[in-house]
Amino acid sequence: MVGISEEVYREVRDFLLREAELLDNGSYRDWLDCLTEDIRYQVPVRVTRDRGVESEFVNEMGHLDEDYVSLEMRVMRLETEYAWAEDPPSRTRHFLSNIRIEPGDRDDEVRVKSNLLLYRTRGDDPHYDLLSAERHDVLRRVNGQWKLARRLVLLDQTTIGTHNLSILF
Amino acid sequence: MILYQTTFGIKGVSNVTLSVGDRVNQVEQLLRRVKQNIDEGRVPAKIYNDPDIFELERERIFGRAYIYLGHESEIPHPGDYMVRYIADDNVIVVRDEEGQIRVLFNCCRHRGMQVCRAEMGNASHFRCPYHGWTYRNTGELVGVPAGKEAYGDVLDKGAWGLRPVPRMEIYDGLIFASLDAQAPSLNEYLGGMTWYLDLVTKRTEAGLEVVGAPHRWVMDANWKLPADNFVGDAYHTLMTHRSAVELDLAPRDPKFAMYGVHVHAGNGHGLGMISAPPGMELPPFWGYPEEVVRALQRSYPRPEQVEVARRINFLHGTVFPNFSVLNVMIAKDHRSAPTPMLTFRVWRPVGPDRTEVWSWFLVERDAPEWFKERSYQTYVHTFGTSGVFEQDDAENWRGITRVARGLMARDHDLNYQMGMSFLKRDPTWPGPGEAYPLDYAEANQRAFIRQWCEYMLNEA
Amino acid sequence: MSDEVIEIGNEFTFVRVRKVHTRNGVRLEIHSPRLGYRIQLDPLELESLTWQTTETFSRFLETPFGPRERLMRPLSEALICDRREE
Ligand code: FES
Ligand SMILES: [Fe+2]
Repeated sequence: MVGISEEVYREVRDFLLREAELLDNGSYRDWLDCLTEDIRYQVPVRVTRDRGVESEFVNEMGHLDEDYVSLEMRVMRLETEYAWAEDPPSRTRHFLSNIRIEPGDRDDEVRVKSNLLLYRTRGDDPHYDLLSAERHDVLRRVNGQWKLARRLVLLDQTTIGTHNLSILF
Repeated sequence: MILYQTTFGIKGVSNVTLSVGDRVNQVEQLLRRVKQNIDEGRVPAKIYNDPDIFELERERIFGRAYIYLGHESEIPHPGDYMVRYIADDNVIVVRDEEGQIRVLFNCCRHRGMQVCRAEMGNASHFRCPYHGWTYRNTGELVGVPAGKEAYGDVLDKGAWGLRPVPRMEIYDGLIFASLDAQAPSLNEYLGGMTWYLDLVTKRTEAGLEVVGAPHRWVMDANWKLPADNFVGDAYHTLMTHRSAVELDLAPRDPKFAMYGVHVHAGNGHGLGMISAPPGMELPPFWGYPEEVVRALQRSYPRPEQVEVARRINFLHGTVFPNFSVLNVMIAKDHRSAPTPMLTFRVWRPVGPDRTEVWSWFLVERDAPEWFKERSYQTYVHTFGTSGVFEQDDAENWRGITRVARGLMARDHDLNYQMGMSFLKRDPTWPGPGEAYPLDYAEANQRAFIRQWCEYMLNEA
Repeated sequence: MSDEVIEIGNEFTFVRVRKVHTRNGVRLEIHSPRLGYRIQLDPLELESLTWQTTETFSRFLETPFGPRERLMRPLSEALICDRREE
C-alpha cells in the first residue's frame, strides 16, 4: 500500500478541523468553498437489522442526499430572514476524532474516515442533543487546496434524537 | 401524584398538591370547556402539553381509534415483517406464508419478551430469545423447548399464540389497526375521507410503493400540533415557509396556499387541495408526468375525482388522529422546476411534549424512473428529517409545546376562528364532506378538536 | 472438494449452506453452527421439500432447538469443531 505522508495527514486533519470550525461558527458560505462542485453528500437512513444483514443502511433513502446545488440552496435559505429553525441559531460543536486516511481512487484524492460527535443546543434550554456518526469522506486536491468531494455520514441512531436536521455534519 | 418523564429524561412531579380526584376533575373540566368553546373558535393552549390529558389520550384515543401502521408495499413477500407502534404498543406487521397481512402484539406469551427486535426482516417462524418459544408468522405457537418435560401434556399451544391486535384492516394498501374490538369497520371510520385518499393512492394501476425505509426522528412537541397543521393549516405557509417561497421552491405568491378548497371529510378527518394562484399557470394534476396523468384518468373510480385532481397542485390532510398525507408540487432546489412528491406521516405520541415522527416517501410503482429519482430528491430536500420546509414546522410546534406547559395555558384560549361564520360552504363541490372555497380556513381544525373531545369524553 | 459456503440468517438464527461433492455425486449440506446439527440432502430429498407446506416446518420446529434439545454450543466450541472437520 502506498503510504500517506505525515504532511498529507497534517493537511487533511487541518482541513477537517477548519471545516468543522466553519460549520460551528455559522460561516456557511465559506464552508461551501470547501466543497467540490461535484460533491455528493449523503446521510443514509439506518434500520435495526440482524447480524446476518450486510448493512443496516438503506441505500435508497437518506436523511440528507445532496449535491452542490442543494447544499447551496440550504445555505441560501439560512441567509433569508425566515429560516426559523436556525434563527436563533442552534449552538453546535463538532468533535472529531479517530481520523484515518487512505489513498483514494485517484492520485489527487484521499479517503478519510473520522468519528464525529455533534453537540447541539438551542435557546435557554440547558438540555442538548448529541448525534454520533462515522464520516466517510473523499478529499480532492484542487489547485493546491483540499476540497470535500464526497461525504457519507453513518449515523449511530435509527430514530434521530433531535427535532430536525437543520444542521450539517 | 404521578412521576412522569419530561422531554429529556428529567423526572418531573405533576400537580403534587392535588389528589387524584382533583386532577380527574380538572381534566374533565378542561375537556368540557374545550367542547363548549370550540363552537366559538376557542381552544385552551393547555391541551398541547399536559401529562393528565396525555394519559387520557393514550387510553381514549390511541386505545380506540384506527392507527396507521404502514403500507403493504413495505412487506411485499411472504415472511416480510416490520415492527411498528400504536402509541406505546409494539406490534409485528407481517405477511404470512399465505400472503395474508397480520398484526401481532410483539410480546411473547411465556414471559413477555419482545419477540422481534430488528425493525424489519423476513421469517416464517419467530423464536423468542428468552426461552425459545417458537411461533409461526401467523402467530400460532408451534414450538416449546423441552415441552414434554416442562409442561407434560397440559400446555394448550392453540391458546397461547402471539395475540393479534383486536382490529386490523387495509384500505388500498394502507394498513390500519385499532386496539378496540368494538371499533367500526375501517371504511365506516374513514367515511368520506376514502374519496380523497383515492386521489393519492389510485393514480396508477400498480399503485404506490414506499421507497426504502421511513425517516424516524423525535421532536419535543405535542403530537396534535402536526396533525392540526396537516389537517387544515394552509395559512402557515405564508410565514413559516417564507424562506422556501423566496428561493422559488414554492410559488412566488406568499399567499399561494390560500387558493384552495378546505374540506372536512367527517369524523375529524380533513384536507386542503390548493390550485394555482390567480394569474399564475401551474401544470394540472400536480405536474405528474404524462404517464401518470394518463393512468389516473382510467384508474380513479369516479370522473369527478379526475376533475378535482386536475386543479390540484398541493394537497395536505390528516386522518384522525395521527396519520397525515402531503402531496405537493415543489422544487428540489432553487435551480429546478417543481416536481410532485408524496409523503405519509405518523405522529406517534411518546409524551405530552414529545412525538416520534415517521415519515415515508412514496411514489407510483409504475412511474418512469427519472421521475421517481427526482421526486425522491424533492422529498429529501424539502420534507423529512432535514427538509427545508419541515425544519421550520418543527421549530414552531416545539415552541408552542414549551409555552403550553405552564398554568397560564389552562385558561389561555387560542384563536380557532378563521373562516367562521363568514366563509360559506361550496354547495357545488362534487366530493363528500363540507367543502369551503378557500384554504385559509380552520373548519377542519375545529372539526378535529371536536372529534378529539368526543373521544376524550368517551362519547365517540 | 467443496464449493463456496453461503450463510443465511435472520434475527432468529443462521445456517451455513454449501454443496458437498461425494465421489460420485453431489449433495447440499445445511449446517447449524449454533446447535451443531448438520444434514446432507440429495436432489430428490431437496425436490421433496418443494411441495412441503409451512405446516411441515412448524412440526419440525415443535422442538425449536432440535430433537435432543441440548443447549446451544458455545460459539468457541462450534468454531473449534468446525475447523477440525475441515
Ligand atoms: S419469554 Fe418468550 S420464551 Fe420465555
Ligand atoms: Fe408546514
